[in-house]
Amino acid sequence: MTDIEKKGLDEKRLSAMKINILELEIENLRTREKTNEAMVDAIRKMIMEEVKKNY
Amino acid sequence: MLLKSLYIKNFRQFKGETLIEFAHEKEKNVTIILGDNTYGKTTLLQAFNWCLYNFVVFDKDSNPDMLLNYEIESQMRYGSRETVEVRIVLVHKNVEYTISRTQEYFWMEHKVRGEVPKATMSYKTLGSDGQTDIRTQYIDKVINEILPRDLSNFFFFDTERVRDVSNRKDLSESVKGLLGLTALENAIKHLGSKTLKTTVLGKFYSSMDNEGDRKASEALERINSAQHRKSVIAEQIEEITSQIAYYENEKSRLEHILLEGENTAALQNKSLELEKKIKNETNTLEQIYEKFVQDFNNGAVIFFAKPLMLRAINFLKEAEVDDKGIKDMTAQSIADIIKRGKCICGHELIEGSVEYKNILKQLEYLPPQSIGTSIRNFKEKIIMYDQANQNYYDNLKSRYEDILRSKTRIQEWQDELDNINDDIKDKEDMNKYVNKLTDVKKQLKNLNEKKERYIREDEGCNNDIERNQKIYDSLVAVSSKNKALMIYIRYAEEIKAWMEKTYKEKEIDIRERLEDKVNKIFNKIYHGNRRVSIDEKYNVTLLTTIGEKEIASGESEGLNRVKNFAFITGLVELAKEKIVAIADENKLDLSSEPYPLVMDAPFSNADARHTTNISRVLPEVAEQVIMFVMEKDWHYAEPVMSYRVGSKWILDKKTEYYTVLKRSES
Repeated sequence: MTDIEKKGLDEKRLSAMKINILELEIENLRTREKTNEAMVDAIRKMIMEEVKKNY
Repeated sequence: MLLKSLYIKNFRQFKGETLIEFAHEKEKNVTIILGDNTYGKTTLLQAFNWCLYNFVVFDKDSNPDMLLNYEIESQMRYGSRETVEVRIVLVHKNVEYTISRTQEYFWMEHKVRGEVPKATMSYKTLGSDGQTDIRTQYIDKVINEILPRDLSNFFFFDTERVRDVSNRKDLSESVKGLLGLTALENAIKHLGSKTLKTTVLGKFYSSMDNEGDRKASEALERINSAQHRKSVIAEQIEEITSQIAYYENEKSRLEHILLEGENTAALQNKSLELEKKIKNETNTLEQIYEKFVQDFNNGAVIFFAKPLMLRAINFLKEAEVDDKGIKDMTAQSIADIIKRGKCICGHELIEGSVEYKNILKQLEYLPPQSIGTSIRNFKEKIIMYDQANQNYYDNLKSRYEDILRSKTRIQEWQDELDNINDDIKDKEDMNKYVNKLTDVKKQLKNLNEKKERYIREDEGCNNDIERNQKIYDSLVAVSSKNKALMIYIRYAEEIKAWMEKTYKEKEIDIRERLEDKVNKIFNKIYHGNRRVSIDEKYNVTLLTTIGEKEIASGESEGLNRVKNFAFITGLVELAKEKIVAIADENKLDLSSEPYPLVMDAPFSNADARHTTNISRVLPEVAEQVIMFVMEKDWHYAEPVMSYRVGSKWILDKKTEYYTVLKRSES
């Protein structure tokens, strides 16, 4: 069991979250379409949806 | 980021419209713009600065604030308006950006005046149609993300004006941004913490249902308090660390000065020592002089009477010396005794008595009846004087020898002092640096101790947070909603921890990798015994080894240029690499972006060998090279570089205020 699993977390979900968040940040650096508040909400939703996904 | 084209209108000597298309193919990635001095090479470079960052650097005597072409300006009259425009098309991370800056000029009160410049920016993803505008307030930010302004001096490199662009300010944030760490930084900021209500973690925590649970609230309060204290400590540590870095730099600088001035310091100390010795010896000499004069005055009369005495002795050699007289007795003494009527032995002196007669008899041996006794007395005195004169002479001779010795010593020391003073004439006083170094070391000791105290306090806060977090988790994980939120929080915290760890690791890693790359490139261009060092602020220094120590070496203009070339090409090369990977199977490029190098007169003052080396290295490392070059310098670079040239232009100067740019067919 990895350290992540010991904490009750799923490696795959965690990696997907990291990638999605960073891609979102990179995209917003290019265009600045989203405000800080919008970015916080988008990241929060990303985490919640990723947890709810069935793999 | 690659530059596709530059459009300029009425910008300085470029009257009318001018469009330059830049080469950006993999094998043909060099654009050459040929022109002699004053033909407009620097103006083209400044067009980039103006369009992207709204600043220009022109010589003071060339009316730097007026961007409008002079010939157009001089023809303007009341009511007329003219426009200056620079437009850049560039590609960055598969997005094509068009950036335009314009400035309107109008005639007012017998003078041409310029309005505030306006910028517009739009983008489209490569392969797609239609442009999307970027909101005005974000234009500077987006440009800064693409190419940080702090690094613009490197990417738009004005070789003749910028002597050393690398030691000006802290470039660390710009370099980290260029290499893709800004995305990580922003994500960390957005994830936030439980105390910041507008962040991801803050929102998750504030959604927790812990109403009425006093212990959980108290635990959360303690966590918040400890975290607040931690952030204060972190700020203090950062401040102290920055101060330590400053004093460490200062320490190195002073040690370097003292190492270089070691010989001077020794000479300065020797000089002080000699001055002291000369002063003491001069005092001693004055004392000897005083004694000499004193001794001279005491016995001078007798000494200088010696020849007379000798003559008297010779004269009296044959005189009869009667030794019957009592020494120092005079006829007057006898007369006094007789008058007193009593001898010195006590007998009464009665006229006619034996005693009386004997006393009178003494008169026969005394002056005026006899001078034998006087002569005897005189001779004895001369003998005594002669002895005194000998002592007088020996004494004066000894004093005189002391004076000579003292004078010789003073002269020798003075000669040595003069030589030393000649050597150290223009040197600084090293003692002030010694004192400064002592102060700096004291400051460093205090700061390090202070930092240690804060680190210990921070550890205490961590323990508090961990302990209270356990209490809090056990209390709030009661409801299913809280359970779900707890999972989101765990993921968010895990992601944030990974991002913070990655950011810190990459910060160090980037500098080490950059230094390695810069040194490799530097050694390709410059074949000497020097190494490039990059500090925490990404300032670049050349080091040379003396003995076992590395010290900052002097930098000629040519060497300084090679150093700056090496730094920027190293940075460009590193920007192309993948900096952050999320997992083995899931790699994500945060940077991996090519960058151009735009250089004005890169071969100015460089010798043929450096020109050849630079020409060989630049097109290999940078994805795109744009150079403004004089014909005479291109002569050396062309054989090495021509096969890379995809676009070549010639500046044709018509008048002092009008230059035309033509595409070269050769």
